[in-house]
Amino acid sequence: MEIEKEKIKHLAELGRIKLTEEEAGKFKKDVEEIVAFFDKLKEVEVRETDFDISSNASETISDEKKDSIGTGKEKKNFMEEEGGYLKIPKVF
Amino acid sequence: MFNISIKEFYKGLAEKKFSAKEATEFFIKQIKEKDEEVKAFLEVFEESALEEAKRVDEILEKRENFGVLTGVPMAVKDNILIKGKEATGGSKILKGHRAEYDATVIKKLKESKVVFLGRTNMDEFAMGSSTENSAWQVTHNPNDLERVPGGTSGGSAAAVAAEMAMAALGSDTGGSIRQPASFCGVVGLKPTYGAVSRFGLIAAASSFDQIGLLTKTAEDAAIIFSAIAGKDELDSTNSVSDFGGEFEKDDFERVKSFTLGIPKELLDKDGKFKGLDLETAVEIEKSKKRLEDLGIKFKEVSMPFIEYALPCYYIMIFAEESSNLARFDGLRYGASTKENKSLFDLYLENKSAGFGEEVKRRIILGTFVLSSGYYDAYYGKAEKVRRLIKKDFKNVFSSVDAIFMPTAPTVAYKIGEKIIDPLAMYMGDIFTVTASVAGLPAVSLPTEKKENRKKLPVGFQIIGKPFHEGEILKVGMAYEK
Repeated sequence: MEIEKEKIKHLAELGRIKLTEEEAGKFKKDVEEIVAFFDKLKEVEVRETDFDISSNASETISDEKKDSIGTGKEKKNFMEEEGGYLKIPKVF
Repeated sequence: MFNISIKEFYKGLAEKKFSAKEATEFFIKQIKEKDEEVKAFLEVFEESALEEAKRVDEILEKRENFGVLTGVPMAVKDNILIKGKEATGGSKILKGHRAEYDATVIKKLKESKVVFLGRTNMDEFAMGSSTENSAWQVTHNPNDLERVPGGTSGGSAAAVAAEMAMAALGSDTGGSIRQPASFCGVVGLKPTYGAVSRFGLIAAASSFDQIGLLTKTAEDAAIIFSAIAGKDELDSTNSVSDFGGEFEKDDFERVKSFTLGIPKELLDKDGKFKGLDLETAVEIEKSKKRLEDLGIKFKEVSMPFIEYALPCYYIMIFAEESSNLARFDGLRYGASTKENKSLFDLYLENKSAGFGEEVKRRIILGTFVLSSGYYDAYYGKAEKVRRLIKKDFKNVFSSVDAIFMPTAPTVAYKIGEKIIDPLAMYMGDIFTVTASVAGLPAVSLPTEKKENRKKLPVGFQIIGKPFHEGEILKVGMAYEK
C-alpha cells in the first residue's frame, strides 16, 4: 500500500511528534514495508462463531481510602511548580 | 566463588561460609571489572546494596526471618520501579525520573530481603530485540563482545551471563526475556499473563507485558518466581495466587512422562524447524534428543493460525504502545523545555527530542492501525486472530502437556547488523511471540551448560498451560540434571 509522506507526518502529529523531511521519507518506506507484512492477516477468514465469550473478567478495587504517596511528593518529578500547584503553559 | 545456585547461597549464608556483605562486595567488584566492556548496568547501587547486605548480616546474627532469597544479589531492569531510585525505561524522556513507590515485585523481593545491585540497560520503553535502541548505551554479549545480548532485557541477561548478578528481573512483551536468555546462555522465564503483578512496571503493551526472570538455572527461576507471583489488587489483570503447589514438590518423574507438542506449521518437509541458522538447528535437535533420553515424548500437532502470530502481535503491540506512550509529554516527568510556548508546541518539542527512532516508528504505526478507515482491517482483525491463536493452543493442550520450539531462529547477531532494517529485526521474534499472543508461560533454556559450550549459546523454549509455570520449570530442572 502506498502511504503518502503527508499522511506519515499527519500520523506523527497525532502522536505529537514533529518529523523532519528526511525522517518522514525514511518512515514512509518503513511503514509501507511493515504494513505490507501486516496484510498477511487478510488471508485469515474469521467467522463470528469461532469465538466463545472470554471468562477472564477484570476485578475492581474496593472503594476505600488507602495509603497514598502523599500530596506534594509527586511534584519532585514535575518540571515546575508554584504555590503548591503544578505549572504548565497556558492552555486557553 | 559465587557461581552457585540460590539454594547453595542460602546454605552458605546459614553455615557462615560467607557473609551477605562479602557476597555483595564480590558482585560489585565483578561489575567494576567486567561492565566497562559489557555495559549491562545503567547504574550500580553500591551504597544502598552494601547497606542492605549489612542489614541482612544483622538479621543472620540474630537468626530471625531468614529465607531462601535473603541476601541474594539481584539486578533490576530499568523499567521496574524501586522507590527513590532513578527509572528511565531506557529513554531520554525519563532522564532524572525517580520512582515514588516500589513496584509490587520489588516490594515482595524487599520482604524476602534481596539485595539490589543496580539497574540494567534495555531497549527504549522495551521496544526492540537487541538492546541497541537504548538511549543510553549499547550492551555487549558477554559470550562475544561484538554481538548483541538480545533484547529488550539485554542488560539483565548480560549481567547474569557475565556473573555480575546472581539473577535479574526483566520484562517480556513478545520475547524480551526469552530471546536475550537464548542469546546470552541463561534461563529466561516469562510467566503467564496475570501471574505476576505489573504494578510499577513502565508499560509497553499492557495486554502482553509480564515481569519475569533471568537466572542461571530453572531451579533459581522457580525460587524467585514463587516469591514474586500471586494476586495483587493493584493490578486488575493479575488473577491467580494458586500455582498448584508444584514448587514444593521435588520430583521429576511426572514431567519425564510428558508429551511435548511441536506445531507442524513451523516445520519444513523434513520435519525440522523452518528458518533456523545452522548452529541453532544443530543445537535444537540435540536438545530434543536429550529430552527424549529423559523419557519425554514428542508429538506433531496442528496449529493452523500460529503462522499469523507475528503480524498479529506487532499490530496489537504498536496500538497499545502508542497509546501508552501518550503519557510521556515531558511535563509530568523527565526532561523538558521551559520556554514559553503553546501546550501543543511544547508537546511536539518534548516528544520529538525525547523519543528515539524505534519509538517514533511505533507511534506512527500504532496510530495508523488504530486510525479511522484502517482500524477494522488491522487492529480489529488482529484482535480476532489473537483469539484464534489462543484457541489453537487450547485445542492442542488437550493432547500434549506443553509445546516445544526454538527460542530464536538465530544465535546472537553482530552489533549494528539488523538495526538498520526494523522488519528483519521483528522477524527474529517469530517463535517467542506465540506464547505472548496467547498469554501463556514460557521458559527459554540453554541447550548446553556454559562449561560444555564450544560456540555461541542457543536456547530452546517450553510453552506451558496457563499458570503451569511449575511444570515447564520442572522440565528445565530435569534437563539440567
